[in-house]
Amino acid sequence: MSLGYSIKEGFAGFGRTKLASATSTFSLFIAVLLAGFLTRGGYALYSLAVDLTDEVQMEIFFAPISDDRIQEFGDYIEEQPWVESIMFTSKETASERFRAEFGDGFGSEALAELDFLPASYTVTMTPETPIEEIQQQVERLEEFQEVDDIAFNAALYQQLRSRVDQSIWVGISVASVILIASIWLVFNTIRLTIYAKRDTIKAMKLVGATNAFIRRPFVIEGVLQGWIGSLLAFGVLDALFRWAVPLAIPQMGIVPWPLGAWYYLALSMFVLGTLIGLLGSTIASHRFIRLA
Amino acid sequence: MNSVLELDHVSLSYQGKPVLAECSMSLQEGDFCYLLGPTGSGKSSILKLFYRETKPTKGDVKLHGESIQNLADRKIPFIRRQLGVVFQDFQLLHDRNVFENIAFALRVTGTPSSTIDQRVKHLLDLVGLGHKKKEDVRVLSGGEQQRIAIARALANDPDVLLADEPTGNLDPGASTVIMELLHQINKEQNVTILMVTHDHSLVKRYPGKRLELKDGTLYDPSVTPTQRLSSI
Repeated sequence: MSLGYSIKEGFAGFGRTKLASATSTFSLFIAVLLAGFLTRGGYALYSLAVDLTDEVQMEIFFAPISDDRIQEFGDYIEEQPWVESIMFTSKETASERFRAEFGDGFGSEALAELDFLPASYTVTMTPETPIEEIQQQVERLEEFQEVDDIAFNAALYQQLRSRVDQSIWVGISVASVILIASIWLVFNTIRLTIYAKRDTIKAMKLVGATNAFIRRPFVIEGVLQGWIGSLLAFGVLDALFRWAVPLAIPQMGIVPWPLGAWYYLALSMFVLGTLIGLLGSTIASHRFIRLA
Repeated sequence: MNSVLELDHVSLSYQGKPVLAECSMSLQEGDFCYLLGPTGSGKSSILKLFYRETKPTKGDVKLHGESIQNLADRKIPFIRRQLGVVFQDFQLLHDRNVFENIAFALRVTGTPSSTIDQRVKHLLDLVGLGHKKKEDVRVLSGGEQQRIAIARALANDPDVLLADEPTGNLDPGASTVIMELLHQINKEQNVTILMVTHDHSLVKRYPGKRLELKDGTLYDPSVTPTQRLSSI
């Protein structure tokens, strides 16, 4: 059985049932566009939330101890699995910052000279570490004699982390609903196309065509609808974020592409459109050509 | 001589309603047989048994001596490729032209394109429609559409042709053309033909073997009731 023939028939089928094909392509276009919009918008919001979470750091202030001991302690902290990075601030640097922040007024220079600002480590935690574990680590570190104090806003950190988690779940749920709905739409459109062509399918079966032979052009038609729908969706999405969103909400500016480049999202949308078209048409043709 | 088409004590019911009862028949290679009977007597059902559109409730349906009633569904297309089937309503593919309608029957068997071109040309010449290769089938007359259906039925060079009232929708002139074509195919290509009809005038003009179906029972009208009883 010629694959070339099936491809040719798949393309021809697109023209033969224009209304059904256009309906299916449109539903696919909407699904992929929504998925793309959610991905781009959601990714921007997610990045913002992660950046904010990263800004919630832990500061470990040291009692007056030697530089070598502080260095040893820093090495120890850096080895911990819940630590992503650490940054050292010496007493001198802390004093300079104090001066820079408060200027010379109110005797701040004199206060800085008193040498009361301690050396510290600013610790960034790995995002996957649970808040409960971070709190346990804080309590454990506070027990070291070398440690004078630890500043960590657990409540803010917890709130940000739970918002990020919630937004991920909401995104996955919405995307799943869109995906299932679009597969269902393509499935039903192909089913209607098969119903409209039942006499033709019956005639095909009478001359000895196997179900697989009849099915293949329908599947190719579904994939073709996926390609067209996803390419259109990407074009509209690009136009939306390039012109419409900055025009409507100027303070947003140009929303960045996920992972920093347009082609990741373009490819994902193309693959998604192809998969929806492929799945919808395969399921429908498997179920209904047998019965036609 | 081996039977090409055979029913062996076949009974058939649709939703509990009996259609055929203990029917037996046997056609040899090169036979031209009419299957006669009133509307609704079950003539088309007998053809459906042979192209495995339906299965008997009892008995054996044989094609080339092989039982086909218990064949797996996936094997049915391969059985149909050994048969040609034509219908009263032609059952052409309306979204394709004349050439593609005939070529389709060859494509399903994986025939190469170059062979398809030659074979379709030959078949169109056989049915006298070589000049209508690119026409839309919907613009053809009924007689022409039936000739295309016959050409399609012959595409895979079958040795059996099942014709379900092939002249039922045609005027007398077109019916004559179709009957002459069927007889030509029967004689020249030795194709066994089983033709369902209720037009007795056609049977008189184009003689052939006859089987009649009445009250679900199949019998040969050329055999007298006494002969029939003595053969039991």
